Amino acid sequence: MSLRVEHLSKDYPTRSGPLPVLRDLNLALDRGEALAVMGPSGSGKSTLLHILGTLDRPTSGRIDLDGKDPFALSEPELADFRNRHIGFVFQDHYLLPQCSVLENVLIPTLVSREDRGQAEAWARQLLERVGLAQRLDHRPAELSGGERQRVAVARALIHHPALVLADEPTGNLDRRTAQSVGQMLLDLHREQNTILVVVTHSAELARQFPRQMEMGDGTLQPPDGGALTEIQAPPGEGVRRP
Amino acid sequence: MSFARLLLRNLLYHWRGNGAVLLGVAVGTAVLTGALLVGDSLRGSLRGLTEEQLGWVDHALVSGRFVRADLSTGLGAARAAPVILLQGAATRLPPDGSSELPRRVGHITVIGVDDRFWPNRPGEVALVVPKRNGVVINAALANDLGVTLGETIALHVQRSSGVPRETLLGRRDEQSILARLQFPVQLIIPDAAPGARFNLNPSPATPRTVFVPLRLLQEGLGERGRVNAILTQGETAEELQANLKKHLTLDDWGLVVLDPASRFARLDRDGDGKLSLSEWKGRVPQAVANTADADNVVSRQAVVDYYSRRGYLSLESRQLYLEPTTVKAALAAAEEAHLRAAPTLVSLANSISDGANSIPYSVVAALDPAQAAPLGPFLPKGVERLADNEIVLSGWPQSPLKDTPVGSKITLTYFAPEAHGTTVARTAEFTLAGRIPLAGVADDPDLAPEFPGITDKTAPGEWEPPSSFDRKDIDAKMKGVHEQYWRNYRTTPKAFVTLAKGREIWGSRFGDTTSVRLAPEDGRSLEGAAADFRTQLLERLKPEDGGFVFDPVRERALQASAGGNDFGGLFLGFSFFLIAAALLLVGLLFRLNLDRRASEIGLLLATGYRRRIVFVLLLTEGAILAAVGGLAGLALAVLYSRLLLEVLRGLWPGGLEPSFLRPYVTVSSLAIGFVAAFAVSVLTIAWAMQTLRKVAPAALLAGETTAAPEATPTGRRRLWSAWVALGFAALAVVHLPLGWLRHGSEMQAMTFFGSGFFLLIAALAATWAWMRSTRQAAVGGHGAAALAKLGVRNAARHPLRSLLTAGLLAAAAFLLVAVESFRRRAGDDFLLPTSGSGGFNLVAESDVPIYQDLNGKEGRQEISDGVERRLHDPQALKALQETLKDVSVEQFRVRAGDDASCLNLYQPRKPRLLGVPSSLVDRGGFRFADSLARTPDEKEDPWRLLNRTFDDGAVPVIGEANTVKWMLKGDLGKDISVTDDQGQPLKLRVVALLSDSVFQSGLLMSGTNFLRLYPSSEGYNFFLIRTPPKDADGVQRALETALGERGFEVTPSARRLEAYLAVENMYLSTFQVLGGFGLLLGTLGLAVVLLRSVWERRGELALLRALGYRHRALAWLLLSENGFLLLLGLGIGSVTALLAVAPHLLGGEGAIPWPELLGMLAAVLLVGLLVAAAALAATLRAPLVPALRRE
Repeated sequence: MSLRVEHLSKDYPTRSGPLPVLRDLNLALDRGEALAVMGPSGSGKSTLLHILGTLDRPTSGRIDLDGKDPFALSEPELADFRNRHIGFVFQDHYLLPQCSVLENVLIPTLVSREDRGQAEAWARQLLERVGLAQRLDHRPAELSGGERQRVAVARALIHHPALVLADEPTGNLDRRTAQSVGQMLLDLHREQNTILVVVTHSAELARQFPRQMEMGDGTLQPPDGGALTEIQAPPGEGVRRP
Repeated sequence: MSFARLLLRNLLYHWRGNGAVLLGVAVGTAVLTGALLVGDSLRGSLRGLTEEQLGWVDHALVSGRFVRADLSTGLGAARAAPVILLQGAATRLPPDGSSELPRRVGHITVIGVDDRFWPNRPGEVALVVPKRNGVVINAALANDLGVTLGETIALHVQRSSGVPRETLLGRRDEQSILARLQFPVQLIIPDAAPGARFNLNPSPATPRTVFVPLRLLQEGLGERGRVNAILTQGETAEELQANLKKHLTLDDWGLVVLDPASRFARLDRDGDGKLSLSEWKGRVPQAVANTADADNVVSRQAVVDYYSRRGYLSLESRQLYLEPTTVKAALAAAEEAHLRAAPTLVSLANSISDGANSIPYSVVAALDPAQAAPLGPFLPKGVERLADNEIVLSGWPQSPLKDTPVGSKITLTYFAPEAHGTTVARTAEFTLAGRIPLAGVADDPDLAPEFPGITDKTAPGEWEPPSSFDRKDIDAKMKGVHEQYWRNYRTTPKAFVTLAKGREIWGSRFGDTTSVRLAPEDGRSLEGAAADFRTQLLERLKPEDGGFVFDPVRERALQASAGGNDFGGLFLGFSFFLIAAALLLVGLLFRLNLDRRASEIGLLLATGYRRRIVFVLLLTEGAILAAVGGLAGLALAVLYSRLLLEVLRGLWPGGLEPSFLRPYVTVSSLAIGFVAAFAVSVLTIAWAMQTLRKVAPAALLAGETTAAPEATPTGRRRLWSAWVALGFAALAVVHLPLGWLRHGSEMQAMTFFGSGFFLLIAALAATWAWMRSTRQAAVGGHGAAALAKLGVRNAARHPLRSLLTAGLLAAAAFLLVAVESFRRRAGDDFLLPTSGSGGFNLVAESDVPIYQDLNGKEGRQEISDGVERRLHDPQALKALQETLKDVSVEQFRVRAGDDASCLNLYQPRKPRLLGVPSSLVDRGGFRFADSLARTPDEKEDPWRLLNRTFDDGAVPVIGEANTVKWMLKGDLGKDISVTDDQGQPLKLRVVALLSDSVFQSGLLMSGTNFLRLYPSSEGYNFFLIRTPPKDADGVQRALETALGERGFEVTPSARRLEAYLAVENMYLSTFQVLGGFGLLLGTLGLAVVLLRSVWERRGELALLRALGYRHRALAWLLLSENGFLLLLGLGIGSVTALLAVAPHLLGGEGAIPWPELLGMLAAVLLVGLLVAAAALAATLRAPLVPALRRE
């Protein structure tokens, strides 16, 4: 399993014409690799993540995931592909408030052909792994921010995805919790041998990753001088410089 | 975890939003189903009323002539009751010595009944019906009359007349026409009692009825043992009709075949087998009188011998004239019975003159003069045949014309055979062909039929002449030889003409034959021949020809109970905008839910849910909500339909009785309502989800629910919207004029709504284009104006949402404006000759026909006499006579039928028909909505179209536009089926449509056609009266005083029209009430949009508050945004409605009541702003910091 991105571009239409966000972006990641992408707000980090996750379409360029161009698939096939191969973790976890912790993890399995019993057993294992074995029947509203994000991580891994994409996974968490969630994400990535791409403002989180890149001018560049700078902290974290 | 569980979790978790959607669906279902239930209720109520008012009666034979009551026993019906059924007036007679004035009530039903009528089914209340000399009245009449038990009432009903009243010999004086019967009231039965509301023409209004013991009424009317109606239960109309034919006797037909024995029996009133002086005097020929013995007794044998010598039988009618169908049957029967037949017409000439001398008041016989004995001949010696212009005189020795030379001109003066209000004298010229001796066949007083009051009198001085004749003139002329002739020869004709000529001058719509004389050809006895002939004749007489037709009243009334209008459809139409508003609200609410759940949807897509699955999941949620909402809506529908019924009951002109209009619920309506509401709700929900299909999952995750405009440049979208606007505007412009070209009512209505709808779409599309425009004005300045500008700009932030809101309000405004524009009233010009009144300021109807011309001498005398009789005030009488000089009356014949006006809730199956006097056709006037007029003459006066003839035999009729279109489901140029006097099918072709006219209750045909098709109808029952405005009240009082006992009721024509318009206006008011509900939903929709907008912008609003904006400034900003949408919606709705109804307004059919209309729109605006303000107040109280944090 590998991820290849070649000459990727993305424009957004505006009343005054197209606004380029990504320009001729190239990237290659193999199974087991983890990448942290940093960059200022509006640099296109989330757009890249959404395109990698097939939630949005590129204006041009090609993405090859394990030898397949997902955008060549029809909408139903693409949805199935996403369901089987990609896991998401968002800053705003997006847990369904009406469902329990276990149910939230199982949400992706409702549209797969996976055996229900196996899926539930795996969900329980994952939740145990993220430390929520005692909270299976709780509702999201009864969990802390970190716990909710752990549920989101478990949900992202329910189908043993090859590609896990995390968009500011610790953006809404305090430092200690953020560190714990980041570490857990990396641990699970290693355990599951996934390709992990994390978009973050947090240099602390990025430093935990073996590979970091910075988004600038619509493309990915190695971090300047190898030093990582907190570019813009999310609310509540303050602004730190190294 | 499963989909079902996820669905359940979703439904329960989002209960607030889902509850709102569910409520919206429930409201939509309630409105839709409720409308259908109103239709069910009306149909059910009418059906219930029919069952109640008809009681046990399935069929009714109501005849113009009285028949034996015993006829009811041989019909094979499970139950049969012979009754006398009459319309008339009742007067409460004040107790003796009281100074109270008599109180009179017209339009009452008088029923002569016996035990066979009253309900006697198990469980029904057994009534103690008075059988002696008292009457039973129902509570409705008791209330109107103010009568209590034991008091006396007088009933005024029409007497039956053997001789048609409109013939030369008919009696038209009030004494002959009206029977005044007095009875004590012995029982007042509640209106709910079985039989109390008996009515053969069921109506929501409780009939005012008097039940008189049958025997008493028979005696009062002089119809012992006879009835004019038979009510039956069971059997089919065909079976009853077949049995009726078997049991009808010649007596029931009013016919008599006179043979020698029956002639004697007719004279022998006491049945003692001989004739005393009182029995034979003046009633037998001189030859028979001469056989009287010393005791003045004439033996039976003498009578039988005389008539046996005469050698012929005679078929005669109690009505004087034999009907044409009877004559035809008689001739066929005679042929079958081997009888030689000689139709004969005997009439009266006022004078026979040769210019110098004349014979007054002579009987003239029209017959075949060449018939051999015993039926003739009546030819002078040497004359073999008589030409139609020749006359033969009787060789009466004292005749003043005894010396008139053969070949001289003889002038016959006679009254026209039919008297239409006045009697007209005419003359006919003949040449004297000769004289025949006053002996043998010529000496036969029995050629003339019996005519009580004349033929039974021994001297002219004893005559009781009919109305046409002048008593004084008779007394002056019938002296000397003329009196002597009568004493000796009585009705023996003094002259003979051919049958053809006689029929030409004396033939009328009632017949042209007074007897058919029959002579056996084979020497058989007269009695044997008579028996044979009677059998053959009865064989050939068709009951239908005599008006003996069993009417399937129950079947007809049950069919009619489907209603004049499909109230279900009508209320569904009225509720169209309300339903649309409810659906739009459902769409808005569901969309609001989706907005709030955008990230949830985005997450499902991100985790690999196919769009279709997400769509199905959400749609299933929507469908469950629609189903549950629909079920809740069904319960609401029952309540809503009751509310509508209350509205209908309250708004119906004059109100409807509380016992009427009960709620009925049918499973089919519930099923249709549920399925329809469910289907449209699901479609609406699907439509609300449509735009989500285009939103990228990433955008959804970010909470966005509108697609980025990437596929089509904004400019192209705007252009597309502009084209849509232009296209629909063009369509509306093309569509509008079609309204003038289309005659069909539905088509016109469709054109109106179609045009309005197109204009509405065009305006909304234009609004859409504007909202998508990038060239909106920049916001600048400061203060309230700048905030208002920003508010307007904000309104375009979510074009679809804003458009839905404005569209909802536009639809409501469209409804209100269009409805107000159609509200009608009798305008100031109503009394002009070219208006709906035709210039007649009074309308009158009479239960008992008026036979006189109320403009003529006889009619005015009748009015004067009536006033004099009742008021005894010579001065008032003189003043009245003076006033009447300026009064003119148009009188119409009426064929009773169903009230075709919109006041009748039943479907009129056989509309009332009016015969228009030729004077009105010549005069013209009234306002026509449309006509088939082609020639300049017809265009100038469309009434002339009534004289048109159609190749297919259709009869031209004119009707009031709404009556024809909505009640009779006809239209200009279309045919309406009815039956003629003989029950034969007849096509009435609508040649013109009157507008806003007083003629709503029936169809109008020419008087000539009316008499041709309904020859048995006599007199006038409908009147248009023109008086100087100041005299209207006085004339009304005078006419009601003079003719009140005939049930003559006068109404100002403006009031009459307004009673009709009140129904139309009631529909409009109902429409408005429903429009008001639509508006309420519209304003709720506005509140939903406002809340959605505030919710989305809570951060923005919090920021503005943080920047120092006061609550008032924020409220103004949001209110201006919503006020703009409100004004936009109301403006679009009002203006498009005005444009759409412009053709009607220009056509003068409506007038805009601006103050009311603007008041209503202002109220809408106010309510909308209040709802918005209430929503804002709740939102702006929210804490500041969390909203800012969220942002």
